[in-house]
Amino acid sequence: MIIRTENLVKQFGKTAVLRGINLHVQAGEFVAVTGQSGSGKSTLLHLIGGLDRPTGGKVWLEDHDLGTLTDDQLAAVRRQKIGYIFQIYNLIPVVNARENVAMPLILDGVSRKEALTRADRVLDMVGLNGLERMFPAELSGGQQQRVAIARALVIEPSIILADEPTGALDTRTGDDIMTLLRHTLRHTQRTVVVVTHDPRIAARTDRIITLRDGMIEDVMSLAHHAAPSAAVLTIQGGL
Amino acid sequence: MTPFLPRFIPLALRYMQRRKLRTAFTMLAILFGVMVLFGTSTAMPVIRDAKILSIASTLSAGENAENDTSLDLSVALMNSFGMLSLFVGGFLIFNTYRAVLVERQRDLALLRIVGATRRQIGQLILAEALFQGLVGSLLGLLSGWVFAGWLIRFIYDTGILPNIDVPALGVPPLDALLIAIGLGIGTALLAAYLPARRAGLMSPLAALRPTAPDTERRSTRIGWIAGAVCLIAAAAMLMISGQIAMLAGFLCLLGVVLMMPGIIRVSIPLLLPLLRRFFPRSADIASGNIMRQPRRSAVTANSLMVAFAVFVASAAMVDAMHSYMVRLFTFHLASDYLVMDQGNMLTMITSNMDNQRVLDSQMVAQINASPEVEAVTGIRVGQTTYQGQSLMLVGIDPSRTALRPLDFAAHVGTIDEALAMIQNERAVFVTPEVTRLYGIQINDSLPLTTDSGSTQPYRVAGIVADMTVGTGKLGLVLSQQHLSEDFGVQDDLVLYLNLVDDADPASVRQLLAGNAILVDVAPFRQMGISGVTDVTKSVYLFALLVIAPALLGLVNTLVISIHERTREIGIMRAIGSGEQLIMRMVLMETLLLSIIGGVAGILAGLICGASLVAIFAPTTVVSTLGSMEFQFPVIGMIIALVGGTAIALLASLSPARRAARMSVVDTLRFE
Repeated sequence: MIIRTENLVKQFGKTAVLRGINLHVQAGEFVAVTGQSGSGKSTLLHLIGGLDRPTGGKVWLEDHDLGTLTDDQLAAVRRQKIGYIFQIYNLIPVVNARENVAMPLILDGVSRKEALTRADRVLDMVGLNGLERMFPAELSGGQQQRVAIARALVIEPSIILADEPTGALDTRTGDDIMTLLRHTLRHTQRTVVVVTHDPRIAARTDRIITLRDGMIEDVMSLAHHAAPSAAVLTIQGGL
Repeated sequence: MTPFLPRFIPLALRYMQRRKLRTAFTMLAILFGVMVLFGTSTAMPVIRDAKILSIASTLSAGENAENDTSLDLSVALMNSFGMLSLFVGGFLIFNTYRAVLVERQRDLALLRIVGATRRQIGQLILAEALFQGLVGSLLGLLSGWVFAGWLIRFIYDTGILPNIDVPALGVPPLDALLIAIGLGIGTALLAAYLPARRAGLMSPLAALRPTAPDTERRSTRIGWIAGAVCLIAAAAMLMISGQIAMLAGFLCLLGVVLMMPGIIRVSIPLLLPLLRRFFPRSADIASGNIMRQPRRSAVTANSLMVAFAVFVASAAMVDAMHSYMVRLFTFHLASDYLVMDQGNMLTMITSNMDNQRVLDSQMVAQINASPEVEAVTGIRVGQTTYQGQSLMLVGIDPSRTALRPLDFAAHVGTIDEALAMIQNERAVFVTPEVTRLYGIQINDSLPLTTDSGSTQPYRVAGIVADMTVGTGKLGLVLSQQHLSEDFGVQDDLVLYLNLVDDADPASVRQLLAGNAILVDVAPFRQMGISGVTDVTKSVYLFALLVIAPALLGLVNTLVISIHERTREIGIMRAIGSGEQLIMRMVLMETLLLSIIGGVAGILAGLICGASLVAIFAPTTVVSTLGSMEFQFPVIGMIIALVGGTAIALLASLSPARRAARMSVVDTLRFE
């Protein structure tokens, strides 16, 4: 079990965003978390990724109880075990693509030279060969998201957390990104948790967890990774 | 520092490379601070040594020249400018880093998300500060060296250092070098430390979200309280002692800085109805932008506030000095004409009248007897020793002080009784410096050494500030009769005279002998006053030099403030705002912040100015003329408000235009 939450609760002031989430994710699994806006998807992702602390309950990442870690220990977990991908890429604008990708390694104490070499390798893997020295503003949305994926992959994380990774992209580019994620997953045996409200994206995962009002409403395992099944589309459409 | 620091240098350099303008401004702020500090601290010892040399060459005995030399008012003023400049530079760098961190909040959050520790975030900022501090300080040292040379020349040109050549600038003292570079780098690091620490403490998610209103409200409340504590402490310090007035001034500025978000919250709703009347479309948007994040707005307002405060404080100090000097000239030069040796003319202005050429006694007798002369009185100068120290003696005719008034700080009985006393018995008036140095009081008896070597007791009948002796010098004023009897001085150095109505000055000129000249006092007085005015203008220039870092900081914060809102401006354009509206909105914000920062700055500047005057007033004489007094620097206030607002508007014009003209697509894509 790579991710486990026990009765996870998160409140912002008096508003309860998550109300007792019990979630288990196996190593190598590709999981989608879906739900309406405000259902708590992103908050759940933030708690799993150690970006925020729960109001109640526990989050386990591999052997770490995230609630018991200090701020610096949490930073180390993020640095070494988690790769993040965001909807709006969140690249550092003043450095080029390879430096963006190398950043987590540099933060982890890897020499600059080695970090850049590894960054180039991963950028090549995500199809950005030749664009390493471009700055974020010079890249298209899809290319920027590939840089973000490369940045998430470069640390060889146990788990990749993606928050609406295709939300800012057109359908075709979004499909490309998902294919890239799927492909990467297959080759590297990483666990991926993707938050999305797009049924087409969700349908390409192993399991769909649907949240409603801060609670798990439904869990659906998918046997294949082809086009979304009619059942999935019905569920998503009804939300 | 951990080994991580060098790892961040490339990233820090990249930030600086991509944000060239603000990096240059930050380094310029450090440069100016170090330049003024290093310049003054290098030039001051040279000036002090030259001053001692100058006085030694004018004193016949030459001994005790060092004791006789208190630091000149202008040199002390330079020193305080150096400190002010450093303070302004430091504050501005702090402000710039705060603004930079607000701008980079998202980038820093991102680093935190990918695993940067708090310490690493702090190190990134400090690496940048270290680089900027180092480069700024080194450039500041070079500029400071040039500035020191100019400063010495400037002081020399004011005539403070007569009888010597322009002093040369030697090898810079190592301590001044180290202090300047240490303070330059230290100021940059210190200014960056708090913002860096704050950035490190921010949680990754909090940094990705806009600041919550309740956080803003809480910090505004804390700002009010902390600011009020600073202001109360400053007021208490001013009441306790004038010596710590400088600290009180700084505390006052700090208090206003802390209160600025609160001041903005209170004053914008008050200004809004007025603005709506003139700018109905942009007033609400502009004030809304300011009110949304008062802390961010306060960064710009505070830059202006400090610039205004320093300028107004300097103006208050300079005006007080100017007014005091004008009073001195007007008071002491009460006659219509002077007769003196031409060679004494320059030293008359610089108050070094000892050891000068005296007037021919036969000529003086003829002038006294001339029917064209209504009244005349002379000044004679001699020397005595008291407790082994050389003192200057000034002989006056006590019955004719109307032509050359004495500036009494204290005296026995009435002024007439005091004058009668020095006429009728062995009595003297002493300068305030004598009372300070020897602890002498009125009615004390001073055993003075006469020219025959014996001592005669002289009673102290009053304390006077005498222009002949000069401010802050050791001197005694006595009757010409006793100066002649005990010290053997019988010749006049200067004659002060009024002519009868319709008299032709040429008739007096015919009586002149040797190098003596008849000086019309009105233009002479005017020359003295305009000399003071010239010095005043120069000090205004110094004030501008001090506020230069403040103005750089202002431009910097405005550029950053507009830059960080590029995306927001794009959204406004996207929903239909025209270029004109965007321009007006940005300019309106600047105008509002200028008014708030300007008014707060002027008030803080007046308090700081009063503090400065309180520090320097004791160095001027206490007398019937009064010491240096605080003056409302009306012109300085107008220059600050109009000039400062104009500069702020000009500074915001370029980024406002750039933002307004950017393509909507580009602004929306902006990160």
